[in-house]
Amino acid sequence: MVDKTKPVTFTFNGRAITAYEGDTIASALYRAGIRVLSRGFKYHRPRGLMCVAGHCPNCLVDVDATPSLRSCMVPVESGMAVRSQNAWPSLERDIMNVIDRFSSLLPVGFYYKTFMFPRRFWPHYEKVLRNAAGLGAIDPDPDRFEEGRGHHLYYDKQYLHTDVTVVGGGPAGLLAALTAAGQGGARVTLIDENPSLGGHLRFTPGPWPSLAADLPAVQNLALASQNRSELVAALSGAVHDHPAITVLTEATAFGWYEGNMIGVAQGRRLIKVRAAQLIVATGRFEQPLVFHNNDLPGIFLGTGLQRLIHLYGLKPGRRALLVSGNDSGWQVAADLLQAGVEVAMVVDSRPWLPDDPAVRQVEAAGVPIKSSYTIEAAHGRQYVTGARVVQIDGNGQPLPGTAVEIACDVIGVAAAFVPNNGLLYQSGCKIRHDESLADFVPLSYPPAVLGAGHAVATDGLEAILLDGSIAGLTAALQWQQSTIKSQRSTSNGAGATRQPFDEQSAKEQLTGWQAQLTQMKRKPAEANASNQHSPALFSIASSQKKKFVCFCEDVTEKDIQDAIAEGFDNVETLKRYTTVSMGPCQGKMCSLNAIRLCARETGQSVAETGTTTSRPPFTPVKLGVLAGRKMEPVRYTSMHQQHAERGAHWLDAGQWKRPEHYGDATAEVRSVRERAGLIDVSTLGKIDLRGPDAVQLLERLYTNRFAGLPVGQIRYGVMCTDEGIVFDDGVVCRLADDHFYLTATTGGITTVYEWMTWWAAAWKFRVHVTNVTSAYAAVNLAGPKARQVLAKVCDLDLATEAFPYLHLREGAVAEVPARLLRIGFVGEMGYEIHFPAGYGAHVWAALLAAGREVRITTFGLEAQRVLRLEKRHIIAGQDTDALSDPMGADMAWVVKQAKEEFIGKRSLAWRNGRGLQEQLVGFVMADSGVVPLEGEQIVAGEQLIGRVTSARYSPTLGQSIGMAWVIAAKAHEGADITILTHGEPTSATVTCEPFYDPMGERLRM
Amino acid sequence: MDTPARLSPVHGRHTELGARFIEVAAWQVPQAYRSLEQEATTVRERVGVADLSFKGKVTVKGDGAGDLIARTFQLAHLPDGRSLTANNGLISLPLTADEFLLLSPPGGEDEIVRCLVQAGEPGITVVDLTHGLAGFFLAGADSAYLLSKICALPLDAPDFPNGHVAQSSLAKVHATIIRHDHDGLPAFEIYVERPYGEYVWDVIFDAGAELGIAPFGWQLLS
Repeated sequence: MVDKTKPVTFTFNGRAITAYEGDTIASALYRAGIRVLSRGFKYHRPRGLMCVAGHCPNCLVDVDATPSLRSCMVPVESGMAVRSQNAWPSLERDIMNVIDRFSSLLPVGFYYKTFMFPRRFWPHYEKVLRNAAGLGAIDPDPDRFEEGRGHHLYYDKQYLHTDVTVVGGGPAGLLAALTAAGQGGARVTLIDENPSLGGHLRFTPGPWPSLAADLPAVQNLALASQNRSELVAALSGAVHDHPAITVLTEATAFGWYEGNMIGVAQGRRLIKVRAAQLIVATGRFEQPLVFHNNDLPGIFLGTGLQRLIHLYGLKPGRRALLVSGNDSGWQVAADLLQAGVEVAMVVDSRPWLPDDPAVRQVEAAGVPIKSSYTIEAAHGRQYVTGARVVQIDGNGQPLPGTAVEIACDVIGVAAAFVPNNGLLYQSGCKIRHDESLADFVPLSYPPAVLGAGHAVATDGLEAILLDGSIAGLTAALQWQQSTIKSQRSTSNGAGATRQPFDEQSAKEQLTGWQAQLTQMKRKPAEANASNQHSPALFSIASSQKKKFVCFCEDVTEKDIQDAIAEGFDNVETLKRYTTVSMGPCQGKMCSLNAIRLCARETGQSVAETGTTTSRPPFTPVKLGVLAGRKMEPVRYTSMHQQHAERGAHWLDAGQWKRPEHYGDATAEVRSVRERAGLIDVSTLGKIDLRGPDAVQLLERLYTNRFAGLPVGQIRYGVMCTDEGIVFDDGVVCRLADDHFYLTATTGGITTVYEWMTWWAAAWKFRVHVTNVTSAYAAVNLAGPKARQVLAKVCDLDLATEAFPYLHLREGAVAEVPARLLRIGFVGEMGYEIHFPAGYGAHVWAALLAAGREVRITTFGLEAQRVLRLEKRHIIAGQDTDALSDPMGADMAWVVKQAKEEFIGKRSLAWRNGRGLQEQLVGFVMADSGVVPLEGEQIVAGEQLIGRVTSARYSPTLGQSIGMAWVIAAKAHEGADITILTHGEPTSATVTCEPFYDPMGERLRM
Repeated sequence: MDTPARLSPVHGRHTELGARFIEVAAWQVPQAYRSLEQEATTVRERVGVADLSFKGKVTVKGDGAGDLIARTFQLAHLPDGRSLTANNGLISLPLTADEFLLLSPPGGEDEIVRCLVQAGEPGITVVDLTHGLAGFFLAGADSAYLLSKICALPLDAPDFPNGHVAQSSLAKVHATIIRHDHDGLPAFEIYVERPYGEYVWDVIFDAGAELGIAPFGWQLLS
């Protein structure tokens, strides 16, 4: 409730508004006398508060650059900047409103018809239409708001697990929660979208039924009076105090997802609630009537008026007309009188007056009352100024000459409700229309889902309280049975610490309650009569056009009639053609009326007409909430801080951050070629493979041989898919007969590890594959002076004969146990040193210190790319793609077809037989100043004959070089090719040899 | 030359947070960030986080791995496959039916590997992953709540009682999570691949900001 001692100030379209704590934006604006909150989607007609419950689209506003928020659901916060949407130049004078005068030119589906001819004009039409369409606008300026506002909001995410989830904190939900937690001993999460619990009891005063006193959950409360507000306070207090109940208020359950997971948006947090049992007690929506000008500001749903009065302490207007079609309307009239509003008249479409204290109150106040009357039209331009009511016959047809004009500034419409059963629909619940109740009731529930109260068309407070108790106890019973079942399968299962309740007495209790409820539903209680409203009376026949069915998309009754006349007479196609129920309210305001209209026009019953599918999200959810907190995993090597200190420029390599260079990649290349360089290669994939079948696994997964690889030696290997496509490469080191250490590419390791594990299991090989990528840091120390540098910190004999190329040794580097591999991706003699990652900083620093006298340089990925390109070493995935086999990649030598079996063997044999179609070659640009981009085309006249995969200027050679796939005819030494460099033809010459040190002498030094 | 120092993947974060370091088995371990009393209060009333990356971590795989561990270290596992077993500071976690992760105080990994290899059981693989995993200890009244913001598993008691072990996605990376209560307060050990260490540390601090999360050191741990 509103606390008038605590003022809060915010702005609306720049104007300062003073509100009170407990106000929503909408109630505060209403208090400030602002009646027009938005403009309609299509005709830009003024719109104001209607449901005051977050159901209708009339109060959407932009708050601090977040568009389309329901202002009746957003609590006021000091300093918030609220703006209206879809209106220009101002909310009061929106020039697009002119469309309203020409609405006959914009019939249903007009965008499919009017703007189609001539066809070539469509792009122009589209531009205009796109400008006119839509509601809110995204603010592209991230800096318009300071920290903590606008685009700088913090969004959060949480997972909750519970035994029983109850959605809806009204009387049914409260009783369900208390029963499930109390008698049932279950952990309960209760979710409600309002700031306080109680549901409709918060704004519908009156006594509570005495039967409720017998229910265990109410018994314990020891209530003194039979006042509803006391009941709500006591129930809500009991729920909040219960240790096993978690209460989430201002939390919207927007969707049901597999596994009984409910998506909940609470403020700026997304909560994924997973429940063993779900109880949907989401209440119901009041429905508008369809009459001329039924969208004018000042026309409210009855419960909307009650919310204004009881939740926000507002006087809705000066003079009201109340249009009733059920008992609830009379209480609204009584509430209006109580709030000091003059009630001009109460009309009830039924031919009788109910026996209700509220009717007597209205009569006593001397209010004119007419039964068999309903509203035909409202008057006014910006706001309601009056209405015309008319007498109707038994079929809902207006009787000529009975019309009465009434001056009023508020119209309350209290005629029908529809169950809020969206979550039930989504969970797979079968729901049918019960013609005798004129309401939608569940036929059967899916496992672990239940409904209670208004959401399943249970009406009358007595029945609702009972229904909630039944759902709570049933859920607890089902939960207990399922946990006992799962406890049997694990010796120490969940729930072992809970004290189970007596199932037999619970079942007896349930049987009794169910009998009571059936009795209640059978007798035509007055309360149940609220849905006895004749379905024919939601709209009376009249020729006037502005009878809105859908307030989101501005679909009128005539639009729907026209669409049905055009053949869209199935409710699903009708929905898609007219867009009725497809707007922000997702059918809360229009679905029932559209179905009834469709039924009426096609001469079917409502049950025969059927319903449209309900999908999540059931209410609008901010994209920020769905996105949640930003959680993008990042991997750092253990030398990261050292790279940062040396001024590294970063490159994202998958999740890794790698130094691209430290300022001058060319100097880094020269340093490696002339002296020595050090690069962090910790991101390399590393696998420890052991077991008696390890050799066999390697033989089958790589295309080349490993059986003969001596212990202490290293061999390069390529893995192919079944189709003979290269998918990763690396080196294999033999540590022992049955123990290997392999490397894979940074990007390929995850796939390689899975591939090896999968095949090892498939073939039942006795091996263990362990991914040790993270356990080892690795550096490559390379260059003519690398040996001299390493010798200062390493205890091994590094002489060529003691430690030759393609050999591996274990020794200490800077006193750290290390594995040294003599391999040379960059084409100079060098050592790849692998060591425990925790020593990363230490070893890095020690090697740099040892290399100071030869002016060692750290080098990054860019230099490495140039260096390996000079050697024509491929990067799998860059120079190869999903069509590259080893022969094409100029590595035919790596395929040993004589091997008994390996993955890709058959495909590769077939590919060999077919002959080469295209091949990976090197090329040298004629003009050393021209470097093509990776991916640029190689052409012969008009024909495409290849593509560039890598290209760089080589400082070592003073030439521009690269690698490219070209057709077989061009794949020979000296062939001339034309590369379209940035679109310009440039000449290059094919080469099949490495550009640098073709004999590999420098590697073997 | 400096003696080789072992650094945690979040060493830089400790420095930024003003940690005082001590050396434990060559690891640079944060001794404390504030007074013992202050750190204890944070843990008791809210939630604190300590770096456990210095722990010895060894995986044992293969048929009979559980029996070998039980024999070698007197660490018999419960048959449920979900609970840790501990003896003399050594902890064994069942990961699958034939894969276990052994955790030891700093520097204990060499001895574990030596003992297991000495047993010479065929078909069993022992790999030292001490440097491959980062470990964090999340302790305090709000630790389960904090985890509910970054992990989808039901980690709140009674679904996950003290001593239980689980593997899950945590902030989008693979994690091994242990419920390991501390001084009567709920607490969890979390192990992720070392390169993700700083990222996960940052995620924990981000999620714990609303709780006033603070780090604590070796002095409160021991």
